[in-house]
Amino acid sequence: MTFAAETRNVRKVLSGTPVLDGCDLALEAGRLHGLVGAGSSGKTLVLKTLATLLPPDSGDVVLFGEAADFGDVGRLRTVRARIGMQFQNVALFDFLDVAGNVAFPLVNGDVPVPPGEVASRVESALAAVGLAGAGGLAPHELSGGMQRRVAIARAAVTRAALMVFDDPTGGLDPVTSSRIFGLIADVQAASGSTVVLASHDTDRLARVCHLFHVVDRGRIAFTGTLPDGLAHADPAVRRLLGGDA
Amino acid sequence: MTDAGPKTATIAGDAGGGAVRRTGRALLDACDVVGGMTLLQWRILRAMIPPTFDYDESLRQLYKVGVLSVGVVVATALFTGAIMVVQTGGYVRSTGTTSLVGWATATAVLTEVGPVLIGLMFSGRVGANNTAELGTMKVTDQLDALRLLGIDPIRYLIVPRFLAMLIMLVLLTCIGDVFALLGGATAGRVVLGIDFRVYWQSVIESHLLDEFLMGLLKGFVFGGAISIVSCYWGLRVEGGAVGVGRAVNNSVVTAAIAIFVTNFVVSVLWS
Repeated sequence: MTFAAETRNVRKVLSGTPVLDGCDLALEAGRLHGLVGAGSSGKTLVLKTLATLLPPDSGDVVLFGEAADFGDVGRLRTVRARIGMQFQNVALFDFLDVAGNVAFPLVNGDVPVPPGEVASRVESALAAVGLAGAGGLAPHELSGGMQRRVAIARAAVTRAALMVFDDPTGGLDPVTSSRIFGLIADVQAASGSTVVLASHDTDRLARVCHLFHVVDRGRIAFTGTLPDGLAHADPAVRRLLGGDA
Repeated sequence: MTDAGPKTATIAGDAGGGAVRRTGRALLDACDVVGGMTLLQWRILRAMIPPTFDYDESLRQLYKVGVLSVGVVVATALFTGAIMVVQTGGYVRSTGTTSLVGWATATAVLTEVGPVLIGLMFSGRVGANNTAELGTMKVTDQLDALRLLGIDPIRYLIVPRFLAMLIMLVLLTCIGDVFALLGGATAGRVVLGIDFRVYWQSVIESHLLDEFLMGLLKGFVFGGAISIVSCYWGLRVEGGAVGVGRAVNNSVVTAAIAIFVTNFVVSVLWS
């Protein structure tokens, strides 16, 4: 079994509070992983740690078989070039239009993509999220759902080896949510990338994810398939996965 | 009565200890801020070598910081020059020294009032905006998004802002000087009846190149101080909209203090 990304006994303290407390997460390569947990359980912090944006106080982050060296900016840049992330806060750049946002990782990546190819890839990425023709709009002109779809397009446009989606359907209606989950599953199937998807929407996660990870108070309480999780001895795990407590 | 002594002493001791703790905390906070700004300055200078920063972003900042500030600076300068002439009006009338009005206005405007007032206006308009913009980018994860895409936010966002503020505040000080003198001339003519020729002759004959250059140096120093302060508070934002508001407040207050302190230092060193 090959793992694309792992956190090994990661600990992190913020403002005196341990937010990650011996977190062991292993993401099997080429699978779609669901990350589930109660509010403030540490999902976003786990994802930011995986994306090398949050250096742990102790423990290791292993990406593509190599331990991340948070002190080596050059190597971090190389590793980050293989990661795409959609942030919980969407994080679209205000100073760029929609097309500029989606093109940004292509233009500024380690290996810049030729300009002609950038335009076609941006167009197809926007079309894939149902926003064909919206490239000229500013982010603030879009609805919340549209902004999230642009963020997904930006995260996926580089066809990164590891794609991280942090609550991609937060605050969205059920129809749009289903569409976004389907879209992420399509992207994963087409690219063969490793995808991790954090969400509270366990019903929809269950339809697309291969494996589940339950985060509880900064550590991974469960890793496995949904049936295994629903049969887990811990009622909190069962409840978070949508089963009976 | 016998118990009152020790209890009073304890209360006084607690109060004294509290004051010492608060003073110590304030000093540590001040050191934290000054140290943070020094480190930011160092990181900016390091990011400028080699100069591979984003030129489009630099041009955008030059326009936003400089061109869009011209109106505010012109208005401030016109009325500053005018009010200086009006305030000296009574003395000038009583002594009949109208030929000194141009000299007095130009000296004050070029060395102190011009750079300081324009710096304060610049801090309120550009510095506060800069802090709010960077702070919003921080709380909405845009800075993390840049880092994930392999882009150093210091090189991409901060260096262009730093350079734009340095360059533009010098140019705006120049423009401000001219309009302050124009404002003084107009007020002198309208309020005091001083002939334009007398006023400008007084300005030119004063040989104020030294004062003019000192004003430009102050503009340069204030531009650097405002950019460091505003970027520092913007990058330090935490806690959403409330945090952004607090950072803007800190930025404006710190920049004002920085302007007055550096103004004093430059004046002393120059003289």
